Amino acid sequence: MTDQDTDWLDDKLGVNNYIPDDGFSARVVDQLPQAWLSNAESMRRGILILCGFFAAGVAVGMLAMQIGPLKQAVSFLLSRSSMMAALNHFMLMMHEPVVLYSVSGGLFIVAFAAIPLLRRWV
Amino acid sequence: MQDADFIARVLVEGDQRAFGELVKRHQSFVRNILRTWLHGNEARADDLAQETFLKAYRNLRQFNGQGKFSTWLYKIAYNEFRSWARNEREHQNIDEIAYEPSEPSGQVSHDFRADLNRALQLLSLEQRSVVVCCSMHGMTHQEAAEVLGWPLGTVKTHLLRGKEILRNKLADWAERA
Repeated sequence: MTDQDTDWLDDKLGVNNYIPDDGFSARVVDQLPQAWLSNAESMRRGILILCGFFAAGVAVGMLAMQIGPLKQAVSFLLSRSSMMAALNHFMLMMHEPVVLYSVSGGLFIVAFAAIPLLRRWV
Repeated sequence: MQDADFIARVLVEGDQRAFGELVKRHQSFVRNILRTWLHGNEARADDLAQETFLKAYRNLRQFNGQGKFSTWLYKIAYNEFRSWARNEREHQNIDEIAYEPSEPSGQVSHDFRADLNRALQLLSLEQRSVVVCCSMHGMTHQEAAEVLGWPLGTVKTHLLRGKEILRNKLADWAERA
């Protein structure tokens, strides 16, 4: 292999092969509104997923409420988070422990689920 | 106007015509590169090119402006090609995808284009990708590494081996060059 070999191959391969537009860009621009719709569609799907997670969290929270040791474990976990502790305090003021554990559990799971989704969107 | 000016108009004013200008600027390169990756299958390449631009439009905010817009665009094109190839591979070997020679649209003779397409089929997907980027479309090794997501050394190795195969297969053209 010589330098000359390299030159002829690069010269041959590197010839500019311009493709005329032939309406391609117009077709793409026509599709742009649908592109945004597709974005909105994926956002809608994401919100549905979050709602699903929230519902699952509520179910887990309510289940935890029925089982003594789990209830204590959830209480302990909630007390470790200042945000959840504030929520805990707020809910206790409302004297609705079922709501407290359900909503707290739901929020916990939503918070974790939202991180990868937010990363995709932002 | 620079690419950055058009991008700003799209992001700030939602100006779709500005994006159209970006498409006009880069369509030839994107379509060309996809046609070569796809052995000259023009219809499929144009479909993927269209999807590339739509994806770029949807994710334009993710372009941070530090690198070239074109490099970012080619990276999307390569990912589109790869995900298409992954789907195809479930049905057939990517290297056995039907070869549909394209009509020459530039200064290269039809025979050379046909010979080149046949020779490109002998390369592995990796070799073909890097030869297309560097030798046929003038990217630097660094740009190709960025587009393909490979280490620089891997790019150089595949390029060297790919060109060696092409040089052997297209040896007849060396005398006519």
